[in-house]
Amino acid sequence: MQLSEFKAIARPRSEWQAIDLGIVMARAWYFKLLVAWAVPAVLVYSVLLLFFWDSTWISIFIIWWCKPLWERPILFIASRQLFDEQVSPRQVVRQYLSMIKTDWFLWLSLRRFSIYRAFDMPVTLLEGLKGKERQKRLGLLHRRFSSGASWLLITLFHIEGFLLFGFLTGLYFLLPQGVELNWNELVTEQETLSSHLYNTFWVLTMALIAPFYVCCGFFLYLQRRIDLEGWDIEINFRQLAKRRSSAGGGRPRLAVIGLGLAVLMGVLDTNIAYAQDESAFPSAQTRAKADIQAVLEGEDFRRIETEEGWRFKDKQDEEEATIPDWLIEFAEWLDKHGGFFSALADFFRSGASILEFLLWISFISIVIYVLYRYRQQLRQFMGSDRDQGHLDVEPPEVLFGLDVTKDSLPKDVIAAAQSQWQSGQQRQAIGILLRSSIIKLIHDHRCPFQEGHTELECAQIVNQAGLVDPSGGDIQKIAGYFQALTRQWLSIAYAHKDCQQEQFQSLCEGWTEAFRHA
Amino acid sequence: MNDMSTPGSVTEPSFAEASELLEKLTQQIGKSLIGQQAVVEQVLIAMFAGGHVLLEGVPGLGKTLLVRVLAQTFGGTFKRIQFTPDLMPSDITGHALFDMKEGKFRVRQGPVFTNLLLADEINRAPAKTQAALLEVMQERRVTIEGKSQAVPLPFMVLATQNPLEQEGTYPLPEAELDRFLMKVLIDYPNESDEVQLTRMITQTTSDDPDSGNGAQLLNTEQFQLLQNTINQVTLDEQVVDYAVRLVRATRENTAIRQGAGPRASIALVRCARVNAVLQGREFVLPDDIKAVAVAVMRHRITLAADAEIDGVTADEMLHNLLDKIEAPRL
Repeated sequence: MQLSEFKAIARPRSEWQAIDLGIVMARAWYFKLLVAWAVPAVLVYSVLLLFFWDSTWISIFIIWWCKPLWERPILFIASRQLFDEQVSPRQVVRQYLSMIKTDWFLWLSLRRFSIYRAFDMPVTLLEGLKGKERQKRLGLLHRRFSSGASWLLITLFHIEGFLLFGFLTGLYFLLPQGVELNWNELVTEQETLSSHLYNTFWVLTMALIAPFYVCCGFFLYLQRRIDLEGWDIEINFRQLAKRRSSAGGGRPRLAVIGLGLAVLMGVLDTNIAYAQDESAFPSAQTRAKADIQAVLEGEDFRRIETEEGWRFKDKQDEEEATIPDWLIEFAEWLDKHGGFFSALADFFRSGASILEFLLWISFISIVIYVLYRYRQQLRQFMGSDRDQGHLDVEPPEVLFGLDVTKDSLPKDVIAAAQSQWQSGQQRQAIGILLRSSIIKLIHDHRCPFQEGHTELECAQIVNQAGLVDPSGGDIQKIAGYFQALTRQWLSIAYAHKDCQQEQFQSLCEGWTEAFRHA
Repeated sequence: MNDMSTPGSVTEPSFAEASELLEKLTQQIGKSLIGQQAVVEQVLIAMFAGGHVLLEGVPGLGKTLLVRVLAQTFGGTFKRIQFTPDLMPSDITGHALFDMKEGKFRVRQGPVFTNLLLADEINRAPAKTQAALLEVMQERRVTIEGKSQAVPLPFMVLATQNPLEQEGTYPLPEAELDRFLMKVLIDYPNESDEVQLTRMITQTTSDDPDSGNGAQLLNTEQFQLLQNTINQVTLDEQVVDYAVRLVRATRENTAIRQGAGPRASIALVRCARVNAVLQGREFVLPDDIKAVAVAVMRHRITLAADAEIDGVTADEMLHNLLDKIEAPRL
């Protein structure tokens, strides 16, 4: 970086003037910057479309999420062009991988929702700072212009939305008069196509806006450095030196002039108070400060008034203590243990990051909840739920309005059924066998009966292959028996036909045979 | 055993004969209406349960053909009314005409005096004209110039409507919908059935595949005897209770703005009886109720706005209810 090659005029500016200059910069190299954003993004988007054509949201979501990566080539080009260094496409391609991989994970995770993205990115990409150093640097940079950087994001976000809406509306207005759009059909039947159209326009809008966003953020960053490092003074010195050397003057005179200028500027321009090199002229500055302090303490600037009233105690202190010290200390401790922790410490530094942290926690909680809520469907989707015929939850206690716990079974099922039979209660007798069979099937064979299943449907479920018999009983025998029992039950319950003694005896023996292991 | 398939037999058929006859009817109509087995069964169920059917499907799926073949099977008469916005009630029921020669009014009976009436695209006519069908559907009688006249029995209205076109249509009011025993959805046939249908139709130059297939299997008298047999199917109290619980559940569900009325319970039991015979049984099972429940109730419930916004259909809602309502047991 050669300051002498700096193409803009280095002078103190407000944040809005810096953003204006960023816009001018973006306009100057717009096509090059646009291509630098669009080529990788569109390539990736096209590949994603091949894989996720039907799930239209996945491709656009990935492109949107990876915005910090697409913006890096723009910053790379702008940072070199501004110092009069021509960048060829080949250079960009060659540098692309190293650009992308610098801190990519943090930029796509913790820092993805940073509202200072364009402002902070040069610190990572151009200065290559990480961890505590980066955090200190950002702390210094953010003392001014951070509000401008956040407003930049908010404004361009809205402009992006308006532009997208404008494109879609423009497309609609360009339709010939005879063509009538069926919105309902477009949204329901042509949903995939209309989503792709919308997404394509969105990618286009992002590409159009990105150069402005990155350049404005970059120039905000540069302006901070101009203020902090006194680039304007240095450039002026160099120009003076150059002029002097071309005129044949000696070094001592140049130093005297330089010192005089610095003293003068140090007094007049308070911005230089932020400069890191403020100790360069200690005596002059100290004297100036002492003079100013003396004037401020004079009678003209002082008036002592006594006010009485109720106010919150130590309100200011409490506001400052929004982030507890222990949290910062803890984060600093973590910071010593690696890059991730340093990023985390950085993350806890500002109040906005707390909000971001909470949002992440909410997001992760929602993901966990959704995974838990739809675990059955996911398991089926992943193909792991092979035993669909089995219950994977505790057997129900009440089903079909009946108590289906094991305890509700008579101690001797056959004796209970025969007792009913002998008292002429045929329906109740068969009913005991059926109910006992159902309870056995639920508890011992994990049959997934539901409230709405009829007897025939239960029989079909039992007949399905793959039922579990933990006691090693003959499944086919149980299924066959249950079919016969169900037929007999339907006959007696719904056709009102009597059951023969032999048939009943056969069912009793069958029950013992089928469920003797259980 | 009486041969019910021979027109002219007048004794009441046994359950086995009734079941066999229904099976034959299904097969015969299925020969003409290829790939619509479920539709044929549902329409037969409605016909023998003494109800009317609302057929919903896109044009060209054989709705008119179905009605014509159905009429042929029992030697009944068949008339068709194309509902249009300018159709008047008297165009359906009939009107009194002054005879100049005799000097008195004579009643000219409308197309409603038939056994099977196809009301094609019923929702194209305004509510006033649609209402002309209310009396005849419920009472089997038509009042013309103050005189009530009975329509020939059996009488059945098969109304059709197109689910896609909504412009220029008049949705049927709830009172009218409730009079239809079933709402049957006709969908496109599957690929193999469509191949078979295309091959069959293209063997002749006519678009009607029913030529030669419409053999009469019973007459109107036997039709009514068959209905009598069906009415004697054993029906357990638990099954009736199950039908009523299902219908009442539609009124208690918050996702349903308007549930089904008592006509739905009656319709469920009637249809379940026919279904039992169609399945070869002489007693009704809860499974019969389940089999006809969706067709019987889908047009009798109105979903709440939030359920509609969620994209839930009446069929899905009913299937959900069928899964949740306890089936009879013990």
